[in-house]
Amino acid sequence: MAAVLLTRNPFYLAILLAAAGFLFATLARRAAHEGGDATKRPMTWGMVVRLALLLWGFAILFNALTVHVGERVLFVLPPSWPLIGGPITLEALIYGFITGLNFVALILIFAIYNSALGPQTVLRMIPGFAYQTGVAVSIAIAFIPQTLIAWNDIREAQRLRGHRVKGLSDFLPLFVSLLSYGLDRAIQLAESMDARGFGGRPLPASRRETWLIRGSAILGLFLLLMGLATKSYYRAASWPGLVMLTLGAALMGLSLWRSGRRTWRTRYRRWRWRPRDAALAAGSGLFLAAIILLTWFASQTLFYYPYPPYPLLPDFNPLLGLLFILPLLPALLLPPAPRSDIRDLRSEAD
Amino acid sequence: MITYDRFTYRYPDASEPVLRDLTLNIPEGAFVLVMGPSGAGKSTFLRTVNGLAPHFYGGVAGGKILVGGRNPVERAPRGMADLVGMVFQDPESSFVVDVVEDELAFAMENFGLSQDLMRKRVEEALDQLKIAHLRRRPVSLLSGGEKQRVAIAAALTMQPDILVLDEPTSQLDPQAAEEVLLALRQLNEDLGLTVLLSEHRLERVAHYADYILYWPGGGQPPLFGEPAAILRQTPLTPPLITLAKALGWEPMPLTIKQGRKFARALKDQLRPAPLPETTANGHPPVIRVDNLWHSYPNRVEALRGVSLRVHAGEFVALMGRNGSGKTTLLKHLVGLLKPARGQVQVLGMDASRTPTEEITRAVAYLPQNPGRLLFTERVADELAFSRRAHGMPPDPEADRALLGRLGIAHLWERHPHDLSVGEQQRLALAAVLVTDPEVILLDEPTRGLDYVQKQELSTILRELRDAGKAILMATHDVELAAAATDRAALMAEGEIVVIGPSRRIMSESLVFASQVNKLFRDPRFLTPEDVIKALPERASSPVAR
Repeated sequence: MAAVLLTRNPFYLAILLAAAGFLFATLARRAAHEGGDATKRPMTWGMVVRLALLLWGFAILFNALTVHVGERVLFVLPPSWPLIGGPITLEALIYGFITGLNFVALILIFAIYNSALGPQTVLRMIPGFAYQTGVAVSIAIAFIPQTLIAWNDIREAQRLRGHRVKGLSDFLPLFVSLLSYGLDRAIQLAESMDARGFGGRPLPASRRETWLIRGSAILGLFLLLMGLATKSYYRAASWPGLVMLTLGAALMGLSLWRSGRRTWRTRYRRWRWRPRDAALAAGSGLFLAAIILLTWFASQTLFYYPYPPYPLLPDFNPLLGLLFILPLLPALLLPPAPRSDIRDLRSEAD
Repeated sequence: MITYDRFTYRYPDASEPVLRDLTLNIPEGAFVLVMGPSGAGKSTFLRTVNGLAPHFYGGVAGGKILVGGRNPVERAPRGMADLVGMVFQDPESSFVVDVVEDELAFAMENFGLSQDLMRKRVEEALDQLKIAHLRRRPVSLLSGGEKQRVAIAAALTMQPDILVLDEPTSQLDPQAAEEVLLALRQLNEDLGLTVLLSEHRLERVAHYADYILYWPGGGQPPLFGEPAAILRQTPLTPPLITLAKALGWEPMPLTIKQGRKFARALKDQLRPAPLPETTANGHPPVIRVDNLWHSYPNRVEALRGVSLRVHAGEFVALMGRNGSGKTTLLKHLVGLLKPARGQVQVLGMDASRTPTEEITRAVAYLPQNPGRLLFTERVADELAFSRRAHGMPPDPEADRALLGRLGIAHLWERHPHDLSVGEQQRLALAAVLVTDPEVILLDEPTRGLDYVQKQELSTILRELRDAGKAILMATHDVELAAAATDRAALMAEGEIVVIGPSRRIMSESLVFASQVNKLFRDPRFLTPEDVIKALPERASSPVAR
């Protein structure tokens, strides 16, 4: 996911997308083998593609119509039109296309996480101090497939009332119902979690400790921000920035850990960690590190910006392209036997 | 155990308190049925027991409240979680984790119990609710009854003294509801758990309850007492009690078994009208389904060779377990699903080739969750929206008349989402009826409705039927089907097992017999009205009283 957020180069994105698509298909096939009720499965390929195309189209259209910067003008809309009036440029169109591609990749990766792990499995792996944030994130992830199902329900209900979607404005009732559905659901879930003692009972902490935790958190954050600023401002001598970043991160981690210790909660079971998982985690870590290093030291390669003065077409480095196939590995690592313990499948696709 | 002393609670934006000067004392180990019309304050009351109101909803609480020696207003839900277990109407949306075992452990994890203790309690809860075989299953793949039992087990792992359930069986079929209620009764008897449960379908629970807490609505204070005493004072009664009240049976029978004694004594005096020879009304069939097959993408066969005819001016009930194919069949009739094999014709249209938007001009379809059907800002706009979508000219006069017929014309300016469940239901019905359709399809229309609302709906539907509409209704509601329909079809595993006159179908069945029918075991008696009409002259005079 980090990779998607960090690159805007369409070639790398496309490779990543293909790899992710293959992985998703493999997982879906395995899920089908596992049996279970496909009608209740959170996401199907068709739904993912539909949502992705919708967002993609929207991104292209929106960017092309509202951004009037660029040299290669395709045609000109009357400038008197608000917002969309003005020259429509190839550059803006391409930029929208890339942004859309980014969206699509993100959705696909969300879908993979969902079908491979389930948000609850992710939740289980989050260390104690970040537990509450973790719950929030995992609920947010679960929200996407639920919203897709609700979208289908609402579309069905509207067809029942003879509502046809022809123009953009016909989508409005859909979004309104979708929003109210989402709110309803969120409230119900929050209520249930509250009634079940979510958040636990914080252990009493001394005043001094509370202040220590807060103080170190604030100082850590401050150092982090300072480090970032120094780093980007003094490009030549970056080591003071690096030092500040490391120190800040350490302080933040410490304070989070301390505050996590204060809320006492336990786990029902431990997750089994096998060599295969370790290899995978190491692989993913390596991939992530490579991408981050790339953006840090050679940001030009992953970077792509179609507007002048940059060239219209991005560069492509085949070696780097190879790197983006890496996320495909889990699909190849999966045991060939289609019937295996469902838990294997879950812990693997990390 | 639970004491309220002049307790008052007001929602943040409300000018009037929902609970005013509530004084109540619920003894330990009681099984309390909480009943009353929708919107009377049942849910709010249940949420004050563990402090969700006022802590989750905001608002102002005053007066004294003590639950198991603690004050929920001070402790907040989090501090009550080990004392009060809470189960909600829709188990699906209250699940946090996706595997049954983990869901059971969630609350204990929050309280930091040791792993050994959690193991032990999870095992106990699995056994108490008889769901040990489901332990590794994802909750999303369970049936409705199983889900609700998981939700109850999850509440039990904290070993609470009090279990609070807000309409836990409203989404279940009769068999699944019975499973859940039996489990609750057993917990109440074996563990001495205090149970507070709200429910509309009293025929399911009235005989389990030790006490009834009745909220009459309209700001009236609630009544608390023994079931027989309370049921005497409310118009919301199951058919058995309605009949007992009408005939002055004393002591009031709460179970079929108790009622049978009175029924036996009465039976010889009754002069019922003879059963009609045939239910055919001579009208042409408007729904023709021939050898319909359908399977979902996962290759589960949802419909297997279904054939069905529904005639104009006929009201047909479609009954059967959850997942027996009722909804799937209805969706085929408006083209939302396409058949794998077979023919579906509605009003001469081929439903598999005609777009849904076109079919629904002449065929009204009310889906399971009527709220989903509503998406404008004003009740008036809902009807205008339907008209516009079907390319009809606006006609506020006709819209108002239609709402008037459904008894909700006074809500004209309101926001659809602020209406009660019963009002939403009728608005949704109005929204699909504006086109004056010839065929009406209903999917579980009585969910969340109280007896009075159900009675009203039943009257509306019968009027439509008499006006020549064909009505096909999927329902679990035995009493409604008994009171209103001409024919009934039982579905199982995607097939229509039996179809015939409602009187015959519903008196031959164990599960689908109405209460009154269980009393008399005679197809001529399905509803209290059937019995009252058959009374000889002299016996009927005390009824009028």
